[in-house]
Amino acid sequence: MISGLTLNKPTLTSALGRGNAAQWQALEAEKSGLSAKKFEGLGPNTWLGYVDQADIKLPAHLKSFDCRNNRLAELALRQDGFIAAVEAAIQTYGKSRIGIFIGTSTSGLQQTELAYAQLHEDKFPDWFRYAHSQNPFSICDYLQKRLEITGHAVAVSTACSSSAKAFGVATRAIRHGICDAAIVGGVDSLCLNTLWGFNALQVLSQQPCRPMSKHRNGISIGEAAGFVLLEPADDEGSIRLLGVGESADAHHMSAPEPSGRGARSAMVQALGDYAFDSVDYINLHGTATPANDAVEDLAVADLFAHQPLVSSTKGWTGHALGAASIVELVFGMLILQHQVIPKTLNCDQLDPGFQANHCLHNTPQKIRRILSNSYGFGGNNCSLLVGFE
Amino acid sequence: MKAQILSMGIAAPGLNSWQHAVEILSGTRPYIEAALPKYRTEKLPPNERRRMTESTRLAFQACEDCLSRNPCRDYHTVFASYSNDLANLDSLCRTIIRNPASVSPTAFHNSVANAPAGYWSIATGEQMSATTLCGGDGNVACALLEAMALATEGNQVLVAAYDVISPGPFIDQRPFDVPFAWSMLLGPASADSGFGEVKVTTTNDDFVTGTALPGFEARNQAAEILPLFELIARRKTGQAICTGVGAANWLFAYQP
Repeated sequence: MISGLTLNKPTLTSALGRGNAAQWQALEAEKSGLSAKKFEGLGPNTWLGYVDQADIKLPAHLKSFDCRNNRLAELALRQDGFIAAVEAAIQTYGKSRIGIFIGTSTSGLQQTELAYAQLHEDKFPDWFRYAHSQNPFSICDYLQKRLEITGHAVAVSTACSSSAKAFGVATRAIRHGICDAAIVGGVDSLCLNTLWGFNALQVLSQQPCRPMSKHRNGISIGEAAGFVLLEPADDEGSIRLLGVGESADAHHMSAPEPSGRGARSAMVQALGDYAFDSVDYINLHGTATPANDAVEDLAVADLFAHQPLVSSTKGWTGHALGAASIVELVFGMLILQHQVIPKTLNCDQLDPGFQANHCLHNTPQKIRRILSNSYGFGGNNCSLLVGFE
Repeated sequence: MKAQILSMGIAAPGLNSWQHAVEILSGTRPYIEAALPKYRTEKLPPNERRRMTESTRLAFQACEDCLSRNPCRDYHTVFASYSNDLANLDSLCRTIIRNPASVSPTAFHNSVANAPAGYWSIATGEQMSATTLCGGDGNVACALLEAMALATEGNQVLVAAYDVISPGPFIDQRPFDVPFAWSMLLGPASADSGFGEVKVTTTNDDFVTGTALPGFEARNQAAEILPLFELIARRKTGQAICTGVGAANWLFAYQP
């Protein structure tokens, strides 16, 4: 159970574009950000949620941090006045009292791949900086130095639930005085390991992913960076983090437990004392793998008798892995702002066995509370309840 | 924040269980470095055991050691590593460069930071939350802070940190030359019995190396737990510092 933390000043950059306005424009226009690409000419044939970042350079004094993941973070930081918002937060709380909690699964892995391509006598090339690129903490280190913040920081790395779990860790840190406010978010970037890895698991689609579809055959991988300020509540009208639910499947490393008990447990915990029928919309993890979508539909239909509309938005952005949850959290905030539920894009024909109330057309609706689900390898489940008190 | 320490576990060269380590850490027996044998868990069937990475084996050894002293159910897990499994990463990257279509699906699902935690939950059937953290030079402090937050809220928590040695290309920039893993079972401070209470505050003082294995902490970030473990081994009231990632470090005050 959470109480009294608001979500302020979100920013998101994804395959839909740079910043929040670009995200909403694409959601409203039902325009996918996926593109057919062989990543760096070396990846498998697939569709990617690619973020063009060729123009982005890190500040000169931080160039040792150069890697795709940190460039993507830098790009996202520059949108939506986020840096100014952080500077204002430093004035309010003090630079040593702002925590940083970032979900990442890939970190600077793409940089490591480039280094391996130039391995010589088992040594990395001179330009490779392990701690500032590959190491999962690198994104936190980069943000501390870039934003001149000196408080507690940690990377949360639980595969595809990473940036949802980051909210749990951040909430506990604020509650127990480790910090007074927090930058929470996620950054994951495209690399050959994830593309060929998911390909090896036979869950990488060669077409744009079709979540919830009878014909779904796997994921489209995306990249994204998003951040939000998590702060003690001061304004009744603010969007709040109302609950974080966390569970483990204890079943399999890469397949969901088929009865959905882990997924149900995370959703129930996120709701806490809030009524189930106060949930107006559920943003599904909805990766478009045969297994995930079936188990999630079962779990959602089982728990929510009032049949709220549900959808997956991964047809727009692809699956941004460790950053998927922050993508969908910021989407949730935009949905609350605009009061329109996005459909499951690319769902050409809803799986006829599904029982939940799947949104297949963008739907204007009064929305006060949103539940957002994320499920990662190792059976790591996390649900976030977001909205108005 | 404060918590009761309900049990400890350790896996490191010359320290391959708490029962063995306690005399060394309390100074009654000298430390003798000896290679850590490859761990074989009984908690997973052979075909799953074969798939474990070295990081996962290290984490299992320390956690099983910890729980052997205090069998427990219904606990949250907080696992943390400075760099996760580098041998698996090395193998994956070499495959990516040479023949990417032949990437092993097992190697890929083993490459996520929370693979050890995932295997642990499968082996034990534990379904409470599992969090995996990477805290850089403050990795040990990060693990303890999150675990103590959960314990302060009334939970039992199995916390562990583990780091493997660096494979060839990484050794220059990450000179960890010994494997190290530790684990603790924490509970609410009000718990009836245990090994003592730990409280945490910030400090401007720096990490101070332990006395039983001088200089060991410089060889693996996870070994920063040693000064606290020495206090527990000696059942001695005292303080241990762990490096923080911000301006402040973290002071853990222990009382048996």
